[in-house]
Formats: sequence, structure tokens, C-alpha cells
Amino acid sequence: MPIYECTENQFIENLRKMIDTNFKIIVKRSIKIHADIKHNISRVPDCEFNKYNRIMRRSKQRANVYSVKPFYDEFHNRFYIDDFKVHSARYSRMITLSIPYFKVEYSFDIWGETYAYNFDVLFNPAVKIERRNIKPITLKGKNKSKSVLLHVLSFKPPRLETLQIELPQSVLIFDVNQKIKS
Amino acid sequence: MIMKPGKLQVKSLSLYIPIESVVKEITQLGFSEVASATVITDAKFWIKRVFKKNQEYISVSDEIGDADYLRDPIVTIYGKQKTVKALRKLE
Repeated sequence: MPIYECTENQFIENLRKMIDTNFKIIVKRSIKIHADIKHNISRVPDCEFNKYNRIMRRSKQRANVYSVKPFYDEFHNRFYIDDFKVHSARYSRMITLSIPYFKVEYSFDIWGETYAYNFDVLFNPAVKIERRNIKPITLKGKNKSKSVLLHVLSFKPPRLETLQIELPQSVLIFDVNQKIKS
Repeated sequence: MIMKPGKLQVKSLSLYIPIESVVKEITQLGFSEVASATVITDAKFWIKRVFKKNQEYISVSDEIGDADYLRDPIVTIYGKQKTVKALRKLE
């Protein structure tokens, strides 16, 4: 069964043509959260990276990324010291800061063919100064945790409107987990 | 096909005009921005902005990042016939 990948424009227009001919359509929708290395801090364009420039720097897209201040990554529970290599262009699978995202898949079937439109929506970063308890690591064994002010990086999920495609009521939308290829 | 003027319909447009002109037209139609996010599709980065007016929705996806080709904002409308008509004039 062939699956045709569409752009947003193609998918909506294909769907519209079906609606206009009074076809009854079932659109399958899958929205899943991911936090793998597919989208990382080095790959994003400059205008997206600028949201992080209070705490990180890079020379260009896909280059090494370094911390410019000590910061705590709340989503991944990681603390970065100043001038630390946050992302390595050479070892990008091992040393990186991944950006969580929603993987959204829309599809419909007609005459044994599937038409699909897939997109990923990034979480929005927020950098703020907060008081946190951190435990200094020294060679002298146990240390008491200290309460300090530091930069905290957190990720906020995008609003629902950016994940959804508004469709007429005549179109049935079924939420699914994943498509199992037969 | 004959559509009732008040009935909500879907339409997607690929507009070869600057994003600012598209947003200006949408704002003049009485829509206000309710959400925006960075979207990755077709191996490209986009800023997706969602506008709302009562039951009507318009999403505008504009490509970001380095590219030396002509960019076309994608406008997807779920709205009344007059909204679709107003934005089709920009084509």
C-alpha cells in the first residue's frame, strides 16, 4: 500500500478536494512527545538559537555549542559549568542538548493509498534566574548542598493550537498511537 | 460547488509575498494571534503562527533559516467564504 508524503499545502488541498466531493473521510492523528537527539541545540537556525543566547554561544549553525554561564537544565536534570561544551559537532550523538518536541502525524486513506503530513513542534525554551540547591563535588567526600542563584533552562510545551489542524465537522478525526504497516 | 457564506471551509494557500503583508491582511480581517511555535517539516524550519476570530482559524507557516530560494508562506484557513476570498486576493 503506497504512502504519499505531503506538505501542509498539499495535504490540506487534497483533503479539501475530497470534502468538496462529499466524500466521508476519516483523518488519523497521532501526537507524541519525544526527547531524542533528532532536534538539538546545534541544528536550530540562528533565530531559534537566540532564545538560548543568555546561557550558550556558538559560531554558526551545526558548530560546537558552549555554555557562557553556569546553568541548570531542568528538563534533562543536568548542570553545566561555565564554558562547558554543551554540544560537540564531532560527537553529536553523545554530547548534545536535545530539544523536546511533539511529533504530529496526520493521514487519511483512499482507494488503498495513504496520504500523510508529518511535522515536529519544538518546545519553547525559557531561561530564568532561580535559587537552587546544588551539591558541590569535591574530593573530600560528603558535602552539604548549597542554595545558590543560577540560570535555569526549562522547556514549555507548545500551545495546542499549533499541533492541531482545524477541520470541518464532516471530517472525522481519529486519534491513534501509530500505524502498523501490513 | 456552491457554499453557504457562513459555512466554515478549509483552504490552504502558498503565497509568494512577504509574510508581513499576509499578517497585515489577516489582522485587518479582525483576527488576533493566539499561538506560535517552531515547526520542522519537509527538513525545513518554520515559524507557525495561529490566528483566531470566533470559530475561524488561520495558521501562517513561514520558513526560517538560511536559504537562497524564494520562500512562500503557507496559509491554512478554516474559515468563512469571505475570509478565504480575502486571502485568495493575495495570490
